[in-house]
Amino acid sequence: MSGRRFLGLAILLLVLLPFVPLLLWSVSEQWFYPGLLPQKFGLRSWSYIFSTASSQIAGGLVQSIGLSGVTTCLSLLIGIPAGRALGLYSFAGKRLIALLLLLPVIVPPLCVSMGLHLWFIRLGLAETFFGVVLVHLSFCLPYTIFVLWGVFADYNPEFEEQARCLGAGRLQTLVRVTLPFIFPGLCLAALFSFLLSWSQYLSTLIIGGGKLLTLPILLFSLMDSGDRPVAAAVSLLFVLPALLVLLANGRLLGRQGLSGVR
Amino acid sequence: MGILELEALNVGYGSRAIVRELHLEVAQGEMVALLGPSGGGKTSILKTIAGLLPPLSGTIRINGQMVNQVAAEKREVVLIFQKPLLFPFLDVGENIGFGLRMQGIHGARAAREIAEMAELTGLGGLERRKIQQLSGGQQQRVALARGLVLRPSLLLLDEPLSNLDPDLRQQMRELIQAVCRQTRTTTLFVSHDQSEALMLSDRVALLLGGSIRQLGTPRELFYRPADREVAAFFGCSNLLEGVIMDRHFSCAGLPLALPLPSTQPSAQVEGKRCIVAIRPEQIELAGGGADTLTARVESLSFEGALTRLEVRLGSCRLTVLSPHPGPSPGSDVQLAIPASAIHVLPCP
Repeated sequence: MSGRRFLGLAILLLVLLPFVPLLLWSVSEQWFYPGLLPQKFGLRSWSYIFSTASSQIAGGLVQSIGLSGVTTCLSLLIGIPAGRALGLYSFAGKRLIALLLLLPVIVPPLCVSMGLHLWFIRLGLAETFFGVVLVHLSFCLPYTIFVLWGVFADYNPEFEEQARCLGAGRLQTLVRVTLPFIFPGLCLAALFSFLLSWSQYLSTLIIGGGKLLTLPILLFSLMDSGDRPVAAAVSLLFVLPALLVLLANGRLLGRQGLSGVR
Repeated sequence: MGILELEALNVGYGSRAIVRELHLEVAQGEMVALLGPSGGGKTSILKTIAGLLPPLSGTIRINGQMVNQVAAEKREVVLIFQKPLLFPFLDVGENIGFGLRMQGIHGARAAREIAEMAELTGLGGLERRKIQQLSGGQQQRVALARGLVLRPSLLLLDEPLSNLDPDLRQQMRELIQAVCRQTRTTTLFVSHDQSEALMLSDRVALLLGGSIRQLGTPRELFYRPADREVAAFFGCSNLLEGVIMDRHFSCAGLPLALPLPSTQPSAQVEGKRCIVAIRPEQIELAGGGADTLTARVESLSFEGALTRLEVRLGSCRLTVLSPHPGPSPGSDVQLAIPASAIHVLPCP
């Protein structure tokens, strides 16, 4: 076996190994110590997800996708101009901005959420979809801006001037020139944003006040109830969209950004 | 069809003008060079004409229409930057057709025009190539084709040759000249390289210290500079101060009065103190004779086709560029300064 294939296999194993117990738990009906494998297999947990609690799980899935999707879009919408300004221009206070951007990453999410909760109650944002989007943004935006800052630091705005000279309007320049150039970085920023928002539990719980039942919230309550097979099945379901986004991103990046010159 | 007129144009950033009171007219099909040292605001002038930089004041007219307020994409002016700036996510054909696509021209018509322009710029058959697979010269040609395919009123070139190797530069120079003449495109280009400007253009505008110092044909600028700085820019270091009497120039350090060329009108200069410019390559090393001057070679450097001699003549120092590499430092040489070599700078 060649070294490269061995390495690939090792990485694959490392990634997939944690999923093996989850998979086993999800199809077990009896699994007691010291059995290496479940004593009794069955699809009880999956049928629970897809029939008994299907509306609740589907609701959580929709809620999670909606929340992460809106958060990602908003964080790109704010992150692109911010990253562009930070990457292309030099101005006073740039270091301060970098520090401020890092703050939500450094300060524990619990503190941020608790602190914001008080304000959000006063502003009427607590227990609303938009309020939760805002608190997710406070975690996602720094990553988005940092990624796009890097993208725009390597970006040559003369390409846009060239496009305008060739008859492209502002919108055409954005769509035909700027976006293709920053596309790989944009994918990466979107991926960070989506996954970060997707896996938020604490901030959703605090600001959402239990009104927004996202997949992580459902997952935690199921784990609390001690029904391991169902929790395992929901966990797998929870990983699936994230995995899909990651794979799609990998394909896109593999085609464009990661294909180096050398 | 394209005529450019610039009136009292001030170019710069913020409130700081880099170029002041620029007046320039470029006629239909004409090729004009803006020549000047690097960092003199030449690129900023092009960007202002293209609409990428707002003018501080003044007027820009294209085909008689004032375009100060017209957006860059609607001016029918194509600026080709110093770097090719090809879009790496498009292939050669798509790059050439970018502007056509922006105008909504698709399909067979676009394909035909792209193929035509690719053929004209020597890129025929390369349309499906990726940009990364092209050489530097080919990339520059794609950039040129991408601009010319739009048949712009005005083509602006920013140092189009400076990124190329010397032999590619020669090819590209000929290509630009041939293509612009063939398509009758009005062209204004910027260069810091005098030979590039002199070779390519119908007229040259020399930009020194933020304003046009002299505008004229390449020969006029080279042989009849308007002042000592223009003369110095074109490498004419022999500037002698003296008096003109009886159609002869005499200077304190010079043992012989030099006759003025017959083309020099005498009325304005007669009896006045002026400065005379003598191009170093027009001074000849002679074998000896009546009108020759004896000079001592002080230093000498061999530059290939020509040898640069620094000579002392009386109390004057002259530079001579000679095709003869013969003399050695310290020896005497005989110089002949023909009347045609003498150019009297306009008296202040």
